[in-house]
Amino acid sequence: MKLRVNRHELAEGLAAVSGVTTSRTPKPILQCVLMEAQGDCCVLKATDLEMSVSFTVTQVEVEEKGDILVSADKLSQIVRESGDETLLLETGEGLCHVRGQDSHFQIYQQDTREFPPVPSGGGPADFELETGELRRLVGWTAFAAARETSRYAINGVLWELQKGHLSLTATDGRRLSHAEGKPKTTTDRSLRAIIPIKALNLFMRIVGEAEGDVGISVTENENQVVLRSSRATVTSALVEGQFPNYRDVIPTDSDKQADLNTAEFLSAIRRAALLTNDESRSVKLSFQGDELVLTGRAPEEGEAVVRMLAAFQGEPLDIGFNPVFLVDALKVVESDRVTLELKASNRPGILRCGPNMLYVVMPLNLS
Amino acid sequence: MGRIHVLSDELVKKIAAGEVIERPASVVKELIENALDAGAGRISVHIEDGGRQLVRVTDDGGGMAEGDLRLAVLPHATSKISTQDDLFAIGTMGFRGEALASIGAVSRLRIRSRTPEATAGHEIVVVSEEVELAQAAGCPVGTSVEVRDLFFNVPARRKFLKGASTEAANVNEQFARIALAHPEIAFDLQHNQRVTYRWPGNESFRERVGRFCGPELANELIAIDWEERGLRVYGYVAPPARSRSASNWQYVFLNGRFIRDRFIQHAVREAYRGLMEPSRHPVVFLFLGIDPGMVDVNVHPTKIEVRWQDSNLIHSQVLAALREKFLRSDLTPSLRARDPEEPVAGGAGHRATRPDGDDAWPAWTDPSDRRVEGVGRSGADRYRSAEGGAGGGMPLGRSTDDAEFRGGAAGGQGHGAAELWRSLHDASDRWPARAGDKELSPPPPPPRTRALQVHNAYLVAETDEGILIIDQHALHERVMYDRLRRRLAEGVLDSQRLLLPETVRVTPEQMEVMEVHAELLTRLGLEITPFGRDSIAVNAVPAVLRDSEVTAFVRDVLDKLADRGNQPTPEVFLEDMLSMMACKAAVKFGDPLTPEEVEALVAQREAVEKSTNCPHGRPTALRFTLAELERQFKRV
Amino acid sequence: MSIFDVRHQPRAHRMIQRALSGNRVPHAYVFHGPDGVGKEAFATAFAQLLLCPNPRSAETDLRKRSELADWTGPAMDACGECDDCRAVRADTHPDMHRIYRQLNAFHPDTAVRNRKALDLGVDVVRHFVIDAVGAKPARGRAKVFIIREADRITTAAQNALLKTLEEPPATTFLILLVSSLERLLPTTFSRCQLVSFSPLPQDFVALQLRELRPELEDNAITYVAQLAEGSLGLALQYVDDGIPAIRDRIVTPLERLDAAGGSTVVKDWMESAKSLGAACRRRDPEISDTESQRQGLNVLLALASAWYRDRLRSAAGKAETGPRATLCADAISAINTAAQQIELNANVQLCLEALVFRLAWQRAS
Repeated sequence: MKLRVNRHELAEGLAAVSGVTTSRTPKPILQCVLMEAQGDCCVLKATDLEMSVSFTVTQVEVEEKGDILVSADKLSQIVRESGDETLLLETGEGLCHVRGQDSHFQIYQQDTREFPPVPSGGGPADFELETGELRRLVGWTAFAAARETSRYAINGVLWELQKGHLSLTATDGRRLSHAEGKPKTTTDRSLRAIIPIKALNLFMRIVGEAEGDVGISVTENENQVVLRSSRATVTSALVEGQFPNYRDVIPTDSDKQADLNTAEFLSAIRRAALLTNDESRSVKLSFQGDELVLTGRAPEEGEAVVRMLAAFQGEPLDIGFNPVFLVDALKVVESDRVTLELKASNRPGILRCGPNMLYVVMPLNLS
Repeated sequence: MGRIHVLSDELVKKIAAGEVIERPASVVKELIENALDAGAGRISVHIEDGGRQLVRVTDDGGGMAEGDLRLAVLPHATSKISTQDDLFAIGTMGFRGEALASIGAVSRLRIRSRTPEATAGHEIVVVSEEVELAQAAGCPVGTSVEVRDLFFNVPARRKFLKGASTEAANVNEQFARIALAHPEIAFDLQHNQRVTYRWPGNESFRERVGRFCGPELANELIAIDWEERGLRVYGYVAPPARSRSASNWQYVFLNGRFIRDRFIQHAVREAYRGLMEPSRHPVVFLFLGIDPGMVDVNVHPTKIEVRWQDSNLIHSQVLAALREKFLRSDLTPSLRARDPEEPVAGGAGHRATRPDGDDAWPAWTDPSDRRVEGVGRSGADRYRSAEGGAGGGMPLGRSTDDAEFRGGAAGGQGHGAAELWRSLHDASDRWPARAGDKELSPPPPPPRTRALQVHNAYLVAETDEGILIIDQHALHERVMYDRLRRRLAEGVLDSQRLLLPETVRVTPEQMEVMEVHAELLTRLGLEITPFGRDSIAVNAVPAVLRDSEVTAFVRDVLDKLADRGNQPTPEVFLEDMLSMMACKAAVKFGDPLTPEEVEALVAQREAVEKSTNCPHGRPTALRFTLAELERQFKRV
Repeated sequence: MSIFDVRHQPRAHRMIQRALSGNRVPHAYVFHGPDGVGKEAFATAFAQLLLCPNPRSAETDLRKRSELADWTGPAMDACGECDDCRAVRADTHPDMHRIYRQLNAFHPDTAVRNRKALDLGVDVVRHFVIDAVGAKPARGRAKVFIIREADRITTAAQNALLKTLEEPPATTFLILLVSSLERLLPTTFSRCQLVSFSPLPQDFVALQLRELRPELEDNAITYVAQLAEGSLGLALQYVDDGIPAIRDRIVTPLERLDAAGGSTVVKDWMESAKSLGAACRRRDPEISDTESQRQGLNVLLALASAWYRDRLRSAAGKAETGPRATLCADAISAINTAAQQIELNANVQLCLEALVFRLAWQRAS
């Protein structure tokens, strides 16, 4: 193999695939990145067996097709430290040569046949989304997913596709967020897949602020998800288990409702939370008439009382929430107003932001 | 009739059989106890070659008449017990008659004794149980017992004797165990003609204990005196900072006799819990006064173990005695750094050979940096925002974790106080990049670099007097523990209701204790209901726990409650659970912290009681003064 | 490898085949038996069978070979030819997870990495088992976790694992390999199916030794095979530690043991135990000094015991050697006592002294 590549392009590609290479694995081959030089591009591939990334590097002149398998870490460092505009990569005698204007590195190559197969994610996607829509949906849900609990199913975001209608749901057992959206194109297939946070996260990072569409598909055996943007493909094992029946926990009997200015509400919670701490992180929300009083109290430090206007309908109510849970959601709200629906101080509240986004949050017992 | 009787068969059977003489130290013990019983005012012990060649104990007590002397070397002869009733009200020490006889069987024994009434004394020599010589002899009032060549006729036992220094250390220990309890009596101990201890009589306990442990420790001893429900607990204990790496500095005396007792050990440990590392051992000298009828001292041949009629009473009283004292004492360790070149004070006698933990123990102290405190107290200063930090876009770092989402999700279960701030106020959000609510946040104060995190484990802070090195986990755990405790004292802990209850499979015992202790569980913030035959549903959990820890926490709680072997009191149980929660919820050793988190943590230090130790008792911080640093750098 | 290459474990074969034919394979197994009798080989073959997309019925001669002649039910085996089978053989299958205590060296947390891997700890179990169980199989059919030395799993790790053992995803199979059941919590044990493995016949061990260590002389093979008490793994270890050569140094003094020479024997034995311990240490650098010394002593006492057993056997059936047989039996029981004492952390030197003098005294009287 022999190719000349734009250094910035290569650096970007290596950064993208480095999301799955790890310097610590009992299988050293997984520390490597596979470069496949083909036609007018070069594809970088890496995997940790659970998740794989392939990234297409453009601005490449391929002089000789072929593959190289080298330590991702070493190659990244070389590329990062170099000051050259372009680099020449070449294989020979078990070595990978990296040549810049004033430098020449030789890295040992590994046997490409030992590298686990990395799916390239060919074939049509089950559905396609605009990246803006993807960011909105994932942004509203991913933060609420659980992490490393032994209830596997909630360690990811549930994606459901049915009759051209897409919804995402995530929960950590204390709060739940749910967003509905519209794919740009879709097949007839009905899907129900739990995508691990790690994979979503990696993919969102690679996609960044780019425009355009992304394609998403689930393999036939429903074990793998393929997330594909114009340049990168992330493949990941789906999450095991049965996602809880979330529709049952979204309350339908709320009889109190507050209409709130998003920015004011967020600010009020933050200020009331200034006087809470790790051990008593509750902010009390007292609704009465048109006023909402937020109280935060840390016995060691004092008490905070913040008042704001709230269009409230229903019997007066005091309810305690972990301010972090409310702030998490309010931070990603894009509309000016939100509604909070309540029933009782020991029953969940629902924060709604337009017709397509809702967030259920369990209260704290007020002591 | 002479003063020594041969015990009746019945009585002999009552007394547990068993060898009492194992080594020179046991000889010393038996002989000193006999001397005490003889009403001695001064007891001298002289050993040679670690006692392997010679043990001689001389007293100025009542002495023995000629007939008694012969009887004394017969098995199960004693002047102390005549009937079975006496056995149940034992006021004297060595009621087991076999001591002299046993010694006589395995050594060359010579006893000289004279009663105050007699004009001359008598001498008897016994070798291998055979009386070789019995004659009148000139000697002072009292008794002198010489034991030579211990085990000369039992090679197997002799072979198992250790070197002279080890045996001498054992003798010292036995000597101290008795002499400490009898400050009214003068004691001295010599080894190979050299004085190890020489303690005058008519001392107070405090003086005696002080002579034993040296003036430095003696000055810091805390006096205990507590009497309730027929039990008196008194004595002296050292502050937690004076703990040792071995437990042999725990001297507990029951009615004047040294004992080892796991209930008392446990009570002592409980009292020191949270003030000291778990691997360390407190130094205590405790005397217990109890009606002899409430305890059976006759369960172990060397009488070192006892059986209580009511062990819970003993445990609770000892714990109460110490606790009550500790709550009223200032336990802050004094600032004292050891210069590496300063010679380690070599204690007199065997103490120098003991593993003395103090040498390996750096000094620490409470921080009193007012400037740091100022940061902690001001709400505005504490407020920190990550604005202006990483913006949007794709970071090229090789981070494989999901830091982007952490601000949100982990915050909910998060740990550091500062992380709470960060997640509440982090407007930049890193991913997806969003601007817009920045104007809601007050402008961040100029960054301060008062403290620095190193190795994701320690915080180094500048103070007025020098530097402070803080163990981040230990400190945070301590902070959490204290606050949780205060919260619990006010009622119940904050409890997060669960949207999706967690189910946990339990044993029938666990199911039962869960129902019995429902109230305790509620105070901790747990709401649990049965869920089928062998499972429970957890509906609400303490708000401080991360969700990944809920199941493990519930299991731990139920295990603790179901552990029949060690039923804690509700207070002890709640404290245990708080320790556990604080440990689980605190930042981990190895967690990277942001500068804001570092500052918030350092700032909290001031506010916390006992913040010099984490709930497990490890120190939370080490302090180096400028003076100390200057000395180390040879500037002075 | 065919699962039927695992020999002389008909019980295990029967249990697995019964489960497969009933299509009711439990999700958690405890494979219990002495070290070195084929537990891990069997677990690996079983994993291959679970991962292979086209398992097939085994041929009759294969079954016979595995001492399963009397098994009339179906006998399934992996095809041995597909990608999955090849990957299992190469130990690169993404759905076969081998878990062992030294994995802590690859844990993302520095503090965990820096720890000594004496036990299978909770961090390793969380990261490499529990988290990995949460992902669907990479290749489709199943994922199998083979947990080595599961008797060294800490209580905290077992507690962390409970939920997974209770409700594993349908595709997940966990196999815990243990040589002792003592450290498994009842809660762990009750959630697993127990499969017992037996010691191997001595002839079989000898046969395998001949194949695997062709350089060994016949009498060394016989000796080691006998010493290893049905464990091929142990036999190989003995060979690699040079036991046939060390043997004479340890047992020759027994032939003319008297009280006078006792101290020398004890000294020699202490030396030998140390070098045997060092060999154990080389194999497993994580173990402590005490542990390696103990392992060395176990080998040494096994050698001594074997010597007496040998004499007991040759004495058997001869009327005039009755007293000699009693002597050997007494000696063996004395050795067992010493081994137990050492297991209970008694002073090693004293135990050996007591033992040697007792053996000498028995001989004299």
